[in-house]
Amino acid sequence: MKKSVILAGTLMVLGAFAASAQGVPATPAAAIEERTSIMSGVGDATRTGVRMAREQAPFDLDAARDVLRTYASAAERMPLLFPPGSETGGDTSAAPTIWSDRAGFERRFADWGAAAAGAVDGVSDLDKFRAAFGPLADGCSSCHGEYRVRRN
Amino acid sequence: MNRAAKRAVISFAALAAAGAGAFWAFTSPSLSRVEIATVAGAPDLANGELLFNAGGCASCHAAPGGDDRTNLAGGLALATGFGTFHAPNISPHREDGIGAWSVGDFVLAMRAGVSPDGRHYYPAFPYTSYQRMREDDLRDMFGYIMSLEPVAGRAPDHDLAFPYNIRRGVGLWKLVYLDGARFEPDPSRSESWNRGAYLVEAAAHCAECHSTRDFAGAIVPETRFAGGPEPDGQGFSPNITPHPDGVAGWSEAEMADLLATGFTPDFDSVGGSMAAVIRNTALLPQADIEAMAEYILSLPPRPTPPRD
Repeated sequence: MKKSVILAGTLMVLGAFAASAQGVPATPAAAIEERTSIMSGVGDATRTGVRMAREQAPFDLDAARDVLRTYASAAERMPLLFPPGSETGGDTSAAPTIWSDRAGFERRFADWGAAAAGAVDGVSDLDKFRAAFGPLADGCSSCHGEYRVRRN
Repeated sequence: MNRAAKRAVISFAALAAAGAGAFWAFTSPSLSRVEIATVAGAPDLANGELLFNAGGCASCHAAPGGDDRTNLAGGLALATGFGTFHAPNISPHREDGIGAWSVGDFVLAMRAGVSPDGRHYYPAFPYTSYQRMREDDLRDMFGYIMSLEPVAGRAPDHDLAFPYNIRRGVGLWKLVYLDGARFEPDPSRSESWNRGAYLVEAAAHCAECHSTRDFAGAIVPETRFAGGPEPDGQGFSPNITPHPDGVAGWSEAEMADLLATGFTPDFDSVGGSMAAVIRNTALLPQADIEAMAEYILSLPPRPTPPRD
């Protein structure tokens, strides 16, 4: 009896560990916090990108590639951060369409992330960066229009 | 049923007691018939397109799911506390759209919320703002819409709960909430401020979402532009007055940037129905975008109303 309790306990711990190794947050609140923080990083990257694209900041190849890498890694991580129970709460402005149209939501992130990752190596100057960055930045609004709600 | 809805039902019951005859008299769409001056002259289609974009017509009337802003087949469903509204076909199709309308019919619809066959439109169609537009601008807007492709097909009828499904009741609502006033420029302000005020208040109808409404669906004046819940209950249109709850501290360039790109000064990209608004405003001339920004930042600062 005692053994089986210990075994069950061990399995639960192992299960939780395996889940966190795959990167699924332990609670809905943790998921909301992580996705909010990732999107805030995406916003910071976008500021860097826009400022370079508009020549309000000097073009820096490493910084430009970092913008694209930030997008790519966000796109990989974000779809895991909308578990059941995280529809509302905290600072979220997630729209119900994320859960009602999960496939569409995940496809948008996959396409956007692939475009960002695929552009990293080819971005060698400002013009090439602009060509890659423009459509990716436009993707913010088109995706937020469908999968995000307005908020104050 | 919440308290607001109960109050609405009680108001309706009281009116019914006052007499069906009086109801019939006071709700006549002909009461909404306004003086329509003859709108002479050929439409300026480029100006019509500009106002079509400023007015956000495509946000509701373009066929959902497509990328074509000029396919005005309608069909967008707007779920609200009153029921579901379905945006109609406003393409120049003669039977299913507005292809058989005269420019006077169009002006009457935009100003008085009355159809050519004499029925009230529900104020989900924001004629409370559009009524302030100039007649030559309405003529140009109509001319532009009539220059687009006619599209066949009708949107479903609105699916509204009692008593809102009594279309005639909109007449009472209009007696209280549709003032029939045009936009009046303020001569003490700059030309660009007045241009911005006209675009924001009349065409772009920003206050229709960025305000809180009462039980009757009318904007509560002290919440105008200070934010309000989205009609479908998903999300909250933010406070856009220069109050600490709103956009205090934004520069005009930052506000213009938002209208042109959808990015806030924090490089957050606005979501929900505002993304569609940005698809409209992004098409406006830079001078108009800047004029709107100038006017918005000159609004009286107001705190965000409490949320339920």
